[in-house]
Amino acid sequence: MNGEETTEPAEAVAAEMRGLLQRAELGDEAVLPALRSFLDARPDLWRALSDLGRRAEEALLGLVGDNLLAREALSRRLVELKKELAGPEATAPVRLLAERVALCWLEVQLAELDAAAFRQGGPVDKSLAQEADRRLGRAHRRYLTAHRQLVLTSKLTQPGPSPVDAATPVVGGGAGGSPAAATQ
Amino acid sequence: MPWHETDGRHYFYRSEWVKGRCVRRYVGGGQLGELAAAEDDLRRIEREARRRGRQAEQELWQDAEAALAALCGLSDLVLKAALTAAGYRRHCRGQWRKRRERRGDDGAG
Repeated sequence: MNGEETTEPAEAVAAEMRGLLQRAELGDEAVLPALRSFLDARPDLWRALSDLGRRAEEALLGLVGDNLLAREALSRRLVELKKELAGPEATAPVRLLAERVALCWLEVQLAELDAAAFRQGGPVDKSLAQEADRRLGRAHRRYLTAHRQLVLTSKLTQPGPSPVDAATPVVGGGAGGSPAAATQ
Repeated sequence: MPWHETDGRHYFYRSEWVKGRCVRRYVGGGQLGELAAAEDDLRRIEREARRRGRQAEQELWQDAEAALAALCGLSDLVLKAALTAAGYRRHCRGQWRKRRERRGDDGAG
């Protein structure tokens, strides 16, 4: 199955990274260059992440059903949102987290529609309606966590503006707006 | 069994729950009975189709949630790795803080 094909490399990469992080947590500073080169020079890591992202996107768009127009519109909105959230000169982790926020945003939208359909519809199985509400709660939590992490990573890993840039007034919004503004 | 045979003739009955008890109601025999039986069959098929549709939808949701959870899990690790590599450490599983450089490590005076 496609899911297994994409999960296996992701698991292998994750296990390797966990090992390096454990060493770093134990105070082994010698592991830091290895961690940097792991992030910079391991195409399989980014391939695994890209596969997972694509799989999640396909699965979420699959929930839209047979409405191809809605699917295409959502797919385009996701592309826009990822660009807006990452900004013009995003580092690879920020781009990854921007993709995660965009996908979690889509999950919240779909879960809200699903839960609303259960509330407005006629007599339904109560357990299904409760499950839809629980799913919406999970989607919200995932979205908020993803958003928090994007803001944190942008703040800590992007180079700050030079004093000249900071003093220059910004004209208009544009693609480099704050991550918080894009999904509102 | 909704069909009952009496003196060689078949009669259709419907079972309903009334005040917690199963009650059998007479519908009719002949063409009327067959019509009622076909109507019940149709309802049963519709119910089954709805149930399967809901089940398929639940499976789609499970797939989507699992895929997102996998992405979130790996991106959490990447975030942790990126911040650790950039010289941050997590203070008591909370805030990320810049790691203090030890004096004399870089030889700067």
